[in-house]
Amino acid sequence: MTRDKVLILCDDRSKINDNLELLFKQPLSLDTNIVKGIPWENKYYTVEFDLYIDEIDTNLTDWIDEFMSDECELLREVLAGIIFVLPLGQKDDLEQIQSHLKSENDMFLICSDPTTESEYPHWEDFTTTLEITTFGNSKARNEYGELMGIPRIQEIIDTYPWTNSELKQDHLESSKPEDTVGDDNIQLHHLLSTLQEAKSKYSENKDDSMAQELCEEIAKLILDS
Amino acid sequence: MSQIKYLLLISRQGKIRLMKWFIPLSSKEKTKIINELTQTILARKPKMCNIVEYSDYKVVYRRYASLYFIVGITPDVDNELLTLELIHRYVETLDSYFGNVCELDIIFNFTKAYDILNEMTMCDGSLAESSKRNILQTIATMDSMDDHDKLDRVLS
Repeated sequence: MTRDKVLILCDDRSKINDNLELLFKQPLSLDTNIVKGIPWENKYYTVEFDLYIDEIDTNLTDWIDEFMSDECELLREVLAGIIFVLPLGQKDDLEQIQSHLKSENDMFLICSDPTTESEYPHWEDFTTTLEITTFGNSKARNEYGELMGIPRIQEIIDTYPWTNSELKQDHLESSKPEDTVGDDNIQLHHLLSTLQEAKSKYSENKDDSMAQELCEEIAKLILDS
Repeated sequence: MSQIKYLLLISRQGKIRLMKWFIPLSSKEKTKIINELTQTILARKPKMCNIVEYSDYKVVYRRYASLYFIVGITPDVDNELLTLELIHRYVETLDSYFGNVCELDIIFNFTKAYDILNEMTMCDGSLAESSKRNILQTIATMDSMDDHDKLDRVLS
């Protein structure tokens, strides 16, 4: 089954909704708990996933017990990851999450604390199974140069092995170093990918108007450079 | 002199992003090393030493952002601090090539990460090139040849 859903678990949605909108780059209505087809993009690929947002109305232990029950087996099989947005000042909550969910190897588990801008010392005890970070949108990095807060969560979502993602054509060229790729080379890469694309399209459907359009596009590219 | 046994690149989530073996090992032995070192090193706290005794040799590691660079070294041949420098030089070279390298760059351009490592080290794990500039020049030449090859393929 394709894992193409992300679950957000929070204790008060209204307090974190603004940052959720920042994270997923789109408006999220407070009364909507399921958002289908969230577009996600980085320089290498695009992907769409569904977002499930749940608020804890009892306590974390009950929620985890319910989540690990047989009734939720189907949900567990389609989740790419869970983001817990809860106060993590106490070690107990993290221990519970770790002990119950450590067997879920195919999904990412992020615990994010919206009440603090800095890391608590006890967070470092959980580095092997959980990704723990803040929930702010600062550009700050920790002592290892690692991003924190929302940028780090974005990075974790980026590195998840989505099976339904679509690679961008020019992803290799976009990563080449600045000092070895000048403007001319960028044009050349664009020209090459355009030619490659046209070649594969033309072999499937020999459309002369498409060939004409391609000639015009190439002429424009050469004249512009 | 330096003669490293292997270099592993492991993410904070325990995923292997790159591995290069400089000594002959069976796949079972490699899996054992990866599993044991992942557990050991990811569980280590920030203030702990970057040099760990493992089996009958030492392992030197360093964390950069969310990635752990782990190197197995040969006793009496390798110097631990020099190995840390080697890791740092590799990271600097990756950083210059990709322009602020991140985990995603290595996932999608792992062949380039291997190319850079291959330029730096010989097949027996000794250091072949320490100049970042020379390594980047060679990689740029490889990229240029690759581009020409692509052009030939497209135009054929």
